[in-house]
Amino acid sequence: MTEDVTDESTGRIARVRDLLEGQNTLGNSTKFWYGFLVVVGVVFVYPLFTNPYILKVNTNYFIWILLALSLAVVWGYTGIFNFGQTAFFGVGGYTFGIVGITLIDVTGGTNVAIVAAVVVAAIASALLGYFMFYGEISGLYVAILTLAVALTGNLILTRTTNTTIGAAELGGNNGITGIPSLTLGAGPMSFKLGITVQYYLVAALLVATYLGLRILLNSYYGYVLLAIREDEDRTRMFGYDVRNLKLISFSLTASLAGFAGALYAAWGNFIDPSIMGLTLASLPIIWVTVGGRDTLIGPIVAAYALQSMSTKLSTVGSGYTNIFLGAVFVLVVLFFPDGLIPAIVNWWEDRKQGAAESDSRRSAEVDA
Amino acid sequence: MTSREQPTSETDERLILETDGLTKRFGGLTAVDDVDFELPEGELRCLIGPNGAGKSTFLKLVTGAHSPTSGTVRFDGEDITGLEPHDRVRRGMSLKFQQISTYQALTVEQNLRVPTQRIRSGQEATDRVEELLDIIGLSDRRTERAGSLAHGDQQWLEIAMAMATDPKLLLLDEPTAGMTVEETQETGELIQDLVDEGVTILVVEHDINLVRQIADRVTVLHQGRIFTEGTVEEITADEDVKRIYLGKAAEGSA
Repeated sequence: MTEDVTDESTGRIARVRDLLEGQNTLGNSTKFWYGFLVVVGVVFVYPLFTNPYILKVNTNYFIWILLALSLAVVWGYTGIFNFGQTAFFGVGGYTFGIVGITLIDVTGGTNVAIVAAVVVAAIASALLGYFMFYGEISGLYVAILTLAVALTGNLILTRTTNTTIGAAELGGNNGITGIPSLTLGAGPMSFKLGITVQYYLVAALLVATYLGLRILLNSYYGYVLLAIREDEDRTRMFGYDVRNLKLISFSLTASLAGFAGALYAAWGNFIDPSIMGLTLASLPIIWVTVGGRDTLIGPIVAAYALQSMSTKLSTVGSGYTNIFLGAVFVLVVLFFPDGLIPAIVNWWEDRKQGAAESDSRRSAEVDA
Repeated sequence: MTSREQPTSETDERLILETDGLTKRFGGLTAVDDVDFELPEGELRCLIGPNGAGKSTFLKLVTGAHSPTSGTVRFDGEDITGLEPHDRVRRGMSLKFQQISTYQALTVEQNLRVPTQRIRSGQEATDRVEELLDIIGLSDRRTERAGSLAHGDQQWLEIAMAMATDPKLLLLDEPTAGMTVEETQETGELIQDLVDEGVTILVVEHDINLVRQIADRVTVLHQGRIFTEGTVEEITADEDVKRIYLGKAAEGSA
């Protein structure tokens, strides 16, 4: 009886692992999943040992990680160099702010605002993506165009002093203030989330996103995205509609960025045009490059590490953060062009292989 | 005309590929000029001709990479002239590019998985990938990056990738370019195995030895037009063909 149950549950675990694992993502060993559970465990018991300020800061890092993951999929896996992912992050944030402020007194919650943020980011990115990919624009031109879109958005938003949409004052350079925090529940049953619950919610969303992307990348679509990155013509001649698939990847990841932007606006109760500026546009590129752009784990680690170091450096003095990030970026590109995590994995595998070889050599010597 | 053509003549001959008045002009240059080409099902045809004869352009008109100035392309009985390349492929055509086009940064297995999964899923796809790995003898190198394979192995990998979509018509653009004599011989045998499995194959080739080894019939293109068509023996014996094609090649190598 008990054996049956364990058989069934191991069968289920094997099936789930089958979905999550594959050669398109790192971390397919049982050891990796134990490590994963430990990290998730630490994240979830962390609030018991720390203060609300630290939790608040960490929530922000988790939101950045969502942004980093969205770029890793579109750039690292699909090969679309979207330099303006923050444009959609900003679109999500602004939409959440506008809809949230306007509707909070009517609906009592932010559910509609969250959905609106994702939908608007999806539509905006689908429009831009349609013109780019069906207009056969590719390579560096995509980077230039997407960055131009972000910077244009930034310019427009700085000129919105005294402009109101709904009940929200856009506020030009000063941005939108008084954006509602996230709520759970619906209608009159909505309740505002405190710092700790918000931390848990964003952490859970992050874990779900990571696992969801792993399933996606190890499925049919993952292979197609990699194939498009490697050779569009070849992939088209296997019968794939490359333009359409690029459009899907572009707007799906932009929607994820828009979702992260909405979380960001709710997290700080505030958003301003600098979110679409040049500095912020380059941050995700740095995280993803440093961590390893064709991995998920790399951008996660790099976004967290670089952002927490940046926070520490910014207490030392202004300007150090950018110098530090710039230096790390240049060094990694020069010495580990595939990123740090792939470099560490390769080194580890070489060492293991080397150890195995010297072991067998030693045993061969003993035999002799 | 020839004894070889007799059994499958006239009405019961099913054409897999047929072009009618196919023409492509680039500005003042007519690269493909009013070509009426017919390829019956199950045949292995070689398309030869000197450089600039329009072989590549013809192939691109068939795959949809170029759209014709005039004329039509029919595939398996249907007019596909207006279709996008990926839609043509989905109807059962497959192409091996002239230059190496394996996915360099992906593993051998990933390379095979991409075309296979378009028509197969789950265990069926995995089995098919195994089968293809076995055919090209790369089973124990499946986790290596395609870019690290030898030139000949990459060409084979690519032929296997082109076969993974179960095409009715396989277009091979210079499949033995850069191969050694033995590799060319083996590739010829592989191509013949595919024909035995019922695939129709159109090979664009420079290597006359390979053409001798594999072809049922040969079509010679010259200055964008079909110069002549016939069996390998007829073509290699044809003085005019020697003049435009073989003569040119000899000149080039001299």
